[in-house]
Amino acid sequence: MANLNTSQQVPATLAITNAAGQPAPVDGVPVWATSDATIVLVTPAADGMSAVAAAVAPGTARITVTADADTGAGVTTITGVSEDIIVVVDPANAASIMTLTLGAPVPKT
Amino acid sequence: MVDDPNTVPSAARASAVASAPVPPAPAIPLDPNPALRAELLAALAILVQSIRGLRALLAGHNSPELRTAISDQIDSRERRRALVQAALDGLDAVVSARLSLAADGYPALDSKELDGLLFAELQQEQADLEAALAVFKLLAMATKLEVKLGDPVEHPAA
Repeated sequence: MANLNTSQQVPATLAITNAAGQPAPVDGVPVWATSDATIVLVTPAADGMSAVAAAVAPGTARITVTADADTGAGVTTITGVSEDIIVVVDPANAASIMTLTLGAPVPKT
Repeated sequence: MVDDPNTVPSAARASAVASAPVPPAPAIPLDPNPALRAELLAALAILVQSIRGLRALLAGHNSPELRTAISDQIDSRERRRALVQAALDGLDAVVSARLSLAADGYPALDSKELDGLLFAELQQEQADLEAALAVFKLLAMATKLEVKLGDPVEHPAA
C-alpha cells in the first residue's frame, strides 16, 4: 500500500523475471493502465519499463501493466498489478480552521 | 471398354446419352464430385443434342437471316459445350491423379533400408547436429511482472 496526498506523485518501475527468478525480456513495450484515472494518473516512459503515477483526487487506485512474454511470433500476456495507491487530500490544502460567526441579536418571536 | 468409366472420355459418354435414353453413368471410383459430374454430363447431353439439331436445320433451305440466327445459336452452344467439357476434363484429371496416387501406395510411404555403413553415417550426422544444438539454450520466457512503487515526491507543478 502506498500513501500519497493530492500534491504528490510516485515513480513506478517494472521487475520482469522468468520462472528461475532471473530477469527476462518481453516483446514490445509494456502497456500501463490505471484502475481509476480520476484518482491516479499514470504516465509511462517511452520504453514502457517505468512510469510516474500522479495523485489526482482522494481515493484508492491501482496500476496495471501488461506485456507480451513471448519474444517470438506468438503472444503470451503477463500482467502485473501494483499495490493499492491511497490518495488523501494534501494537508496543506486541507481545511484546518472552521469559524462560526454569530449574527446580530434580534427579539424572540 | 464402355464398362470402364476411367478410360471413356466424358464427351463420348455424353454423346451416348444424347442419342438415346440410357441409365445414369456408373459411379467412378475416387470421383471428387459425382453430383457435379452427373450435372455436367446431363448438360452436355442436352447441348450435344441441340447442336446436332441446329446443324440439321442449317443444312436445309433457309433464308440467309435464319441461317445466321441458327449459326449464332450453334456457336453459343459449342462455346458452352467446350466449357462444360473442360470442367469434366478437370474432374477426369483429378480421378486420374488419385488413381496414380493409389497405384503409388498413397498415403503410405516406404522406409528405405540402408546397409550398416550408410546408417552409421546418418547416425553420426544426427549426433553432430545434436551436439551443435546443445550449444544453444532456449531463452526462458518471462513469467512474472511486478510493479514496484518508489517514494512519493511532490508534483513538479506543486
